[in-house]
Amino acid sequence: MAGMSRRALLTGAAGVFGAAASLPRGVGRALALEQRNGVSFLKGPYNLAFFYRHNRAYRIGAGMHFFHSKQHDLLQLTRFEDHAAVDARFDKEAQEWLRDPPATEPEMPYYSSYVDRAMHTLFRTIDWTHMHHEQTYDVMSFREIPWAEKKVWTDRTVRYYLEMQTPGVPRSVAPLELTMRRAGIMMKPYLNHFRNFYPLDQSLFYVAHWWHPAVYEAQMISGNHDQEVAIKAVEETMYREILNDRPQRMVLSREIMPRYSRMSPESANIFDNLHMLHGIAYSILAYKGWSVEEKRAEMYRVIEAMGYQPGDEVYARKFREPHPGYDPRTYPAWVRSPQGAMGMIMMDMLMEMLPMMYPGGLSKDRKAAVMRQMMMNGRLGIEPGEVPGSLHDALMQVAPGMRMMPGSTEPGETPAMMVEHMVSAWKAKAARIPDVAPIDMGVEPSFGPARVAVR
Amino acid sequence: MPKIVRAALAAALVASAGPALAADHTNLEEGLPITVEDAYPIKENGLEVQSYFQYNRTRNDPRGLSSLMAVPRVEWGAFKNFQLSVEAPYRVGTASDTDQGAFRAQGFYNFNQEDLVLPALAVALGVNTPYGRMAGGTETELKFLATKSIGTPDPEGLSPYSYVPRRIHFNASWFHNYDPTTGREAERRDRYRVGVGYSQLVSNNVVLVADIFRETDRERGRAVNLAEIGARYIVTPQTVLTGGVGVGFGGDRRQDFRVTAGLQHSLSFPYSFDPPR
Repeated sequence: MAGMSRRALLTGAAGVFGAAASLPRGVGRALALEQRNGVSFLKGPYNLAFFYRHNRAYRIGAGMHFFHSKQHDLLQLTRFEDHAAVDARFDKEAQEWLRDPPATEPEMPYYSSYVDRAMHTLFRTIDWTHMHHEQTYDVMSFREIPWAEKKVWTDRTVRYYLEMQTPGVPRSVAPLELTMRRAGIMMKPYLNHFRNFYPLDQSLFYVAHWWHPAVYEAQMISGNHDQEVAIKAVEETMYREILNDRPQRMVLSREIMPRYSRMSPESANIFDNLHMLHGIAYSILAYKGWSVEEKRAEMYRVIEAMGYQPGDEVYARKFREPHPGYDPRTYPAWVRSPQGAMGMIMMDMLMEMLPMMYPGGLSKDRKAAVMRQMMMNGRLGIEPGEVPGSLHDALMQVAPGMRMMPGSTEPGETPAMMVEHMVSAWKAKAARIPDVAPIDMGVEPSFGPARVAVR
Repeated sequence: MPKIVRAALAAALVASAGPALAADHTNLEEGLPITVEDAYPIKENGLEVQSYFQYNRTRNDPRGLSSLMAVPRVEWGAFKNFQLSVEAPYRVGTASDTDQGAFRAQGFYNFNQEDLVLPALAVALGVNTPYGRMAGGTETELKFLATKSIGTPDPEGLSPYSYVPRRIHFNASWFHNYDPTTGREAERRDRYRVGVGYSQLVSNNVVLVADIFRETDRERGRAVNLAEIGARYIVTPQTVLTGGVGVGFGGDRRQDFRVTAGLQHSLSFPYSFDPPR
């Protein structure tokens, strides 16, 4: 009996594992061969302060990270032809999670095991930056850190974020104006695929892009003592107004958390760079013209290009704040509008690219058609008159004769000449942009009488 | 060479082999609550305290039938993909292996993140020095671990809404005893443990785990043959509670059943209380 059970167990163990480890059905894939390289959170007295003090807000963020996670595998594993049905069905499921959010935050691999295995560095990048989000929320939520010391503790978390992971994984502290130019994605065939073909799901992420900075800004206007009131108001605004009538674009930190962006522009830019990476990643996954290996090559190229590079600090404050007095408990029309800071960045980039793409120039009509397609491509869904697909497809149709830059459309390739041109053009502009002013943390805000923040 | 010197040398060897966000309910740990674990260490710079209590109902033991083991453990992500752990289990009760404990140190290195083809692979090297009543010889353990996702019930992705991440785990250990006891309760010089585990999320906060394994006992002629099932429940981002039960099988089994309850907690310290400058 003993001998039999021993043999049976050994044979069974080898058999079960061998079967599962065999090649998945119908798929020929190259090995990704990378290490996990996980790094834990930065230890501090403030750990879990946000979880305990603002648990409802923590859980809402956790619900957002559920649909953030699951969206990856959905886009990769469902048929593109089903995009409208997938979009509608997942929007419904995601809203259910948002209205009844989970108790703890899932990491990205929880609900997207396939993409985790296919391109683990994407999830390592996202989860590492989410760790930074948690840290900065905790610093702001922890009452025992005096208001005047919030910045030094936040800066400590930024240093840890930039230094502890392998190079290329931390997001850049430079604004999107620089990192988007480095990414050079404007002519890639996947550009805005997610936004155009999954508008419901995309707009739910626009809600998330509003939510995260709105919570920081609620902390910035309420100080150490009145955060509960401020964050509850943000929650109510989200459920009552924003979820039902969603923003039509990706809002930026400088728009929704202008005060926090002045305190820690590095952290603000890190968040914007992550949020932009989300959109690019979803578009790459939604695009069906490439194999999973090609998608991985492109994904890793973009991650690297938008990642932190030594010297990025110089540009951390090179942005303007269009709405410096924004109250995150409100939902004015400009927040909902499809026009905003991100659209300006994209438009500036296109204007820099056009002379290289059309060395002979464009007629007034064709230039107007190019601009129209650019605007429509950047908005949710497919509009009447819009050429469905990428901006590249649209330009080829409305303004044929475009000169293609090497690397501008291929997976994993960088249009080096175009990128160099755009980066140097922006750096010249940046030299003329005054640094956004630091915020005075010496006076602690509150909903009662103002207090002098003491150390 | 005295036993304690050999143990220290072995521990130093493990430590010289080189250095997980918060406590993570999907990252399996031996004994929390099942024996088979996954091929992933905790994250670099992570520091966890883990503890579990395990009741075993033994059989064919002339001294007694019950044993309760308490296991305190500290685990440290010393560097990327490598963890060090130390633990000091102690058993009380009426069974013959009670009133004794052990000091165990282990280094664990993961070679790769699982991809679409290759499982995650890891090795661990540990040393185990028993103490207490009728304690046996010092053992080393060389362990091979692998983890492989088995994906969704529909690998073509036609129904990813019903997607449930599921993984299987394979563990195989070779134990070598440097100073086996002799006589009526003679110890094996070499023995093994081999097992297969399974894990899947059943909700956002709960992971179902199960395993089946065979471990030849230190004492000749006996073995631990167990099938276990349990759950890992993440209570806060830094705390996981675990619980499980196991039943013995096979004629040479040592246990009839086992109950395990444990806790895993990521520490927020050491840190500096002073504001950073």
